[in-house]
This record gives sequence, C-alpha cells and structure tokens, in this order.
Amino acid sequence: MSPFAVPGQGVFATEADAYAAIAKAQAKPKKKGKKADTDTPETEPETTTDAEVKP
Amino acid sequence: MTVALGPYLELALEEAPNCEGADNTVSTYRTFPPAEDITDDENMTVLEEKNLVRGFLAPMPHLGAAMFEPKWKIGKVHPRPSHLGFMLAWMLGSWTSTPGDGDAVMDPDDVAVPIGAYKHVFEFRFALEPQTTQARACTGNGEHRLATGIALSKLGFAWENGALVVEPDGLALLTQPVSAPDPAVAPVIDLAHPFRRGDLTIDWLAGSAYTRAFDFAFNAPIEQIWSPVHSSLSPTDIWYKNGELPFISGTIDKATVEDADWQALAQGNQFAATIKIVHREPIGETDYVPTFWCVMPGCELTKNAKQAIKAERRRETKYDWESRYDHVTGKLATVTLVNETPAYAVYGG
Repeated sequence: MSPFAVPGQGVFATEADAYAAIAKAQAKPKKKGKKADTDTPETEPETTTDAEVKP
Repeated sequence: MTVALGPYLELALEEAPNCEGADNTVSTYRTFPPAEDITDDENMTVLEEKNLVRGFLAPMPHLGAAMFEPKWKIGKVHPRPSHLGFMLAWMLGSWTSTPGDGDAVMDPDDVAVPIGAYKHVFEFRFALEPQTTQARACTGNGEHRLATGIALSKLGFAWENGALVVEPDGLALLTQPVSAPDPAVAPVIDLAHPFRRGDLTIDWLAGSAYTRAFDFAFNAPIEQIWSPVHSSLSPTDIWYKNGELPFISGTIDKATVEDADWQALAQGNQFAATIKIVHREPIGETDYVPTFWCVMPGCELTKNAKQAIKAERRRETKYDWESRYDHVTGKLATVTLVNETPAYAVYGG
C-alpha cells in the first residue's frame, strides 16, 4: 500500500485519511489576530539633556 | 526545520467545460501529479492598428488584448497508479469504476480483482465535448495560476531514467492568475513509486522481429470555438475537432527486418496487441499490484523506416502503428487500470 503525504500534516495510509486530515486542519478556528483600533497612544517619558539644563 | 511548501500542480475534473463566467461543478477528487514543468500560455493576440491611414506617419499604439487562445501543457508527468487513472479519465473521457470483490470482478488477465482494489475501464468518449479539467498551479514564490476547461489532444507514454512518463498536451478555455486571497489548497502527495520501464510487456504480432523500443500515445484532436453566446475574449467552447477521429498510435523499433512485420504492413493485416505495465507495490494487504492494460484487437502497422544496408551486424527497422477498428469485436481499444483509487469524478458532496 502506498502512503500519502500532506505537507505539514504528516503521512497517512490512505488518500481518504489524508484528505480527512486536511479537512480537520482547515476546520480549526484560526488564531485571533491583533485587535483593531485598540491601540493606545504611546507616551514617551520626557527626558532632559544636559544642554537644556540652564545653569 | 519546517520545509516550505513548494510549487505544485492540482488537477480536478469538471462536470462540464468551464469557460469565462461559467460555474460548472468541479470534482471534489483532486490530484497532485508530479510534473516536470507547466506551460500556462494565454496565447494573447494584441489589437494592432499600426498601418491605418489616420493622418500620422508613425506606428499607432496597440490597444491591448484582442483575443486569447489559451494553450496548456504539462511537461512530463511521472504518474503513480492514482495519477495514471486520472490522466486516462481526462484523456479518454469515458470510464466506469468497479470495486473489486475478489470473486466476480475480473481483470483482463481473468484474475479476480480483490477487495480494496478498483477496476477502471476507459474508452474514447463519443460526444461533442471532451472531458475537461481545472488546473491550479502554484509557483515557488506563491503565485497561483488557474486554468479551466482544459482538454487533452494527446497523452503520450514514454520512458525516462527507467520510469514511465506521460506527456499531456491540450488546449484551455481560460487561464488566469488567481486573485487574492490565495486559495487554501493542501496538496496530497502520493508516495507510491512510479511505474518502471522493466515492468512493461507487450503482446504483439506473431513472428515479429525482436523489439528494441516501444512507445505509444492516445490522440483525440480538439479545437477551441468562439461562439457569440456571451462577451468574452477567450474561447467559449472546447470540442472534439470536426473531421478527426480519436486513435492510439506509437512506434516500435525492431532489431532486424523480418518478413512477418513487412507482410502485416503490406497486406494490411490486423493483429491483436496488448500493452501491459505492472507496478511493484501491492494494493492494501493483498498480493495484487496496480496494473495497466491497453487491449487493441485490431492493431495495424502503418509505416516503415528501414536503416540503410551498411557494414554492420544487423539491419534495424522502425514501424509506426495504430489501433484501428476491429470488425470482430467492434472495438478500437479497451484500456483498463486496477489501482486503489475508488473514483476520479466526485461532483458535489
């Protein structure tokens, strides 16, 4: 019997098993991406340089 | 290390040819045959009006695409038993698939096809339209190309590095880039071995000279039609070419010049011939190996090219041959493949 490979999924004994594995993988919920429009403006700490310090 | 998904070719049969805008069902059975290269040619003609008298003495700009006559060629395919059945279904267009039962379902050698194996019997389709396929090709950098309504005019069988290669050649109705997002296609790679040259046998004309080499091809000329049924720069239909008939042809190299061969050609004698290619990996837990038969009851030699007489040990010769209609059996040829693929066309589901 010749095995069937699915890249990233492994090797299966039958073609039907290989396609079942693909269907299962594609049915998995995708990972959530970054939430949109929730970025908070970054606040940079103010720094002073020596040059700005008045004697 | 995870290996990147590389270039692949995905093929699926169409229930009816898909021209631009058509939405005929595509088989859910998809196959990924190992191919050497894919030529995906739109074959575009640009709309030129260079030499019109319009008041300028300069070549006028062309006006973009005038029409497309898509050609589709898959370089040599190294088929496994599952792919070979697909290519035969695509080329010949008419077939029946029967599951083996280890008892009543017999192969052409009168051996029972075991449970777990499937017998596919192919014949040339008699219809206006050939069997068409949808093809999706992916490049190494993730560019997807889709061609639809591809029919084959020729499927050549040859040998390379000791293994069977088939050369499909055809025309398409439409070829285009696939628009984003990229399709979620996951290739299924059949890890079976290819068929080996050493496992080819032929039954040929009695008394024929020693055979040195042998090749064959299925032929069914096709043509693209531009019917004014809707607005499109691509062909609307793909049909069998009018005035041309399907046939099986090939060449056979002979080590010597023998009377039997010459007489068969000169007298138009038909003879029964069988091409058989066996695989080496058994189906499931059985002892049965996938096997291809092409049974031609009325073969004929059609042309001869002898070597010149030279100061050599032998004079070699080569014949062209064709499968012709056999009045006794009423057949041109019957092609059988036993493998472990249940069905090639699964529409819906």
